[in-house]
Amino acid sequence: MSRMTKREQTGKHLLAWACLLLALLVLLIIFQPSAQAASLRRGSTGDDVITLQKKLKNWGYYGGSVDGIFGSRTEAAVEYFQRKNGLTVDGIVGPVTARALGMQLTGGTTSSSKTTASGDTYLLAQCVYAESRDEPYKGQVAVAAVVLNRVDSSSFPNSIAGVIYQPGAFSAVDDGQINLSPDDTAIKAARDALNGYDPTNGCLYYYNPSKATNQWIRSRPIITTIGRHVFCK
Amino acid sequence: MEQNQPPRKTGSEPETRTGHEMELKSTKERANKTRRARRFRTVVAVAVPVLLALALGAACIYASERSAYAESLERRVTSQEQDAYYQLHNNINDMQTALLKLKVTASSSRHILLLSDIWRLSGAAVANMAAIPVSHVDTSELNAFLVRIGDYANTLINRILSGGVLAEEDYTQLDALYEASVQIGNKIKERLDRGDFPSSLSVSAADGYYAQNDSAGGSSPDQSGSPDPNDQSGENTQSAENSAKEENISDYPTLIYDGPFSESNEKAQPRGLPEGEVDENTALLRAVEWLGGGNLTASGYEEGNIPVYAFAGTDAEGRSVEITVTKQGGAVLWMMRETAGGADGVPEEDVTKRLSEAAGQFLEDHGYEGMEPTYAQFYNGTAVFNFAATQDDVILYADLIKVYVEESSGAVVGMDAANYLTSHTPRDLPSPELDETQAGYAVSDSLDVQSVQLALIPKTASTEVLCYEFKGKCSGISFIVYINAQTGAEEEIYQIIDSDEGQLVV
Repeated sequence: MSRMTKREQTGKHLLAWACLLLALLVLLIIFQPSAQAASLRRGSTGDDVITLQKKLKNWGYYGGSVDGIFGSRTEAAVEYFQRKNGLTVDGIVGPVTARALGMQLTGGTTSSSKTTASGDTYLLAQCVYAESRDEPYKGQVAVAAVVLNRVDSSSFPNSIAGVIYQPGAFSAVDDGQINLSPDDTAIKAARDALNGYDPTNGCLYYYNPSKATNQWIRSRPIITTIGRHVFCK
Repeated sequence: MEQNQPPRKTGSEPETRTGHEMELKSTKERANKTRRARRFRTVVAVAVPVLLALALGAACIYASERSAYAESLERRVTSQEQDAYYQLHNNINDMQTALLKLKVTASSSRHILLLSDIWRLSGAAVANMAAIPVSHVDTSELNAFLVRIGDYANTLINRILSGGVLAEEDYTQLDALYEASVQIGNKIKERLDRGDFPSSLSVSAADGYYAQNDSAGGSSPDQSGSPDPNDQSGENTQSAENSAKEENISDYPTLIYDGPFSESNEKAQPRGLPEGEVDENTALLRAVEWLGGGNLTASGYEEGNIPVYAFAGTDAEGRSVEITVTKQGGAVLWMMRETAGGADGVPEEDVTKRLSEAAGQFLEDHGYEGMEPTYAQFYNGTAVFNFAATQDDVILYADLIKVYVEESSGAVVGMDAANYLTSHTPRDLPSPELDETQAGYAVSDSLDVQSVQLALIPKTASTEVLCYEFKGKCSGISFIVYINAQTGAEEEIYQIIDSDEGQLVV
């Protein structure tokens, strides 16, 4: 009797623990979708690799090109960095090495980007990507141009960041899409707009006529329509 | 005890059992099985609710932590918004004081100090405005007012520094600005006293931004495209919007001055367009001729800063192309062909030279004579050269044309003449009072000058000044210094930054 009970008890315990673990796991998965840690190693590509290469290059560890591809030279540079900084020399950028480098790993590979941009150009590209990645190229430049036209207008904040982060101005800021990594097209669109290309011919507003309900914005004189967006002054 | 042994063990026992024993065993086994099944059911019956209760408990704890966190974030956001509102009030108050002091000061150095204070406060107030969650429709005028105060003050500073004085109409304008800022300050103070702050929690973000206050007695946004008075804005944001309205006053003084944000300059008409209007068909013929053949279709008329007809299609080589032709004068404003793309980065010097020559040749072929290449950027496999117009060997920096050249093929893939068409007219150039050597005395000794040239640069938003352009280096960094060719005054200094993508001028 006792042996049997023991076994059953073990089974019961196992079952209980399994269920509890499962429940906890479910909870964790539901509430913490971003808890997984990423690492960069040979073969990794993407924005994080670009950041890594830039940092290594700036500090003189890396002499290759900033191309977003973790190859043998990047690996050698990471090992060099780890040796110099008293870290485990494995050529892999895990959480510890990442912290030593002062970078955050976003996890996984995002768009592998040929072009790089920084500062205002990047922020503008983020806005373009978040607001209009499904639009034709001209429509993406147009969104960037509207931001820049606002910067130059007295009725709006006087910097790119000020315009983009103005409360309520862009829905992509409210729903967090602004933080997505822009692709090459969005970066190029931002650059073209910064270089003066304005397909909207001076517009300050745009909206999607199938979505916008606000009467005020609909009463503005329409200058042009590009893709799904209507641009107005 | 023996009988309670698990069935598995029975297989290893000697084969001396009787049928009775076997029967007994199987009965026991069955009984065991049912007992085990019952026990399992009990375990499940107990464990599942317990686990669910645990999960619920964990979820509750988690949820309460989250909601506490959300509340703390809410408070942080609200306090930042309140902070911005308080600071806006302070900055406008300080601006009032400075405007008041301007009335009674007689010294030009005090004028400059007070005006720079106003300039600084205007910038700070505009930054505060950007952080306050209020409808753009209701506050764009206030924003413009604050920007223009600073812009105007800066214009006055420059005038006093170059030997000018404040005129009678400036004092009248400053009085009006003072009155307006008092009104605005009082409205904000009333709201602060009530503890009624604009908050992002009471305004729904996307709609609130354009939500329009239709309460009576408010000011309407600018006359052009003024909204439909019967218009109903979203009811949910109504009360928030009514209060957001209160910073506005009915009449903002119109400032007359010459700065980049002045009303006259924001509505400036292009000066470089040829005479006469063209219709869409003529514009289409122009576009095809300009491209050297191709198949274009009209994609619409755009009433913008420079009204244009837009066309899209393919050029003679089959590349897709977009082009716009101005309604007035039928000039090509902008053209862009599809490109192969490529890497960023400045190419070798001889490649750059070849690309620049291709761009220059292109401009000459299209009737732009005497254009001088200035600076260039290189990105995405494309070189962008900025050409400035010249007149009697003087570079006209306002009249820029951008030419895009594909690095792989050397083909011109784009052109942007917006700056040129906005500002190009024959200038009435004075002959310089100073010669190159005399102007050189005004240049800092720290600058190792490498080249000198006459150039016309923008001084205010609508005036230009003839200068000697000294290009040189100081501790390895490139600079351009502009010395007024008449007075020898140092008008402007630019730093040239060599980036991966070419030269940047700051």
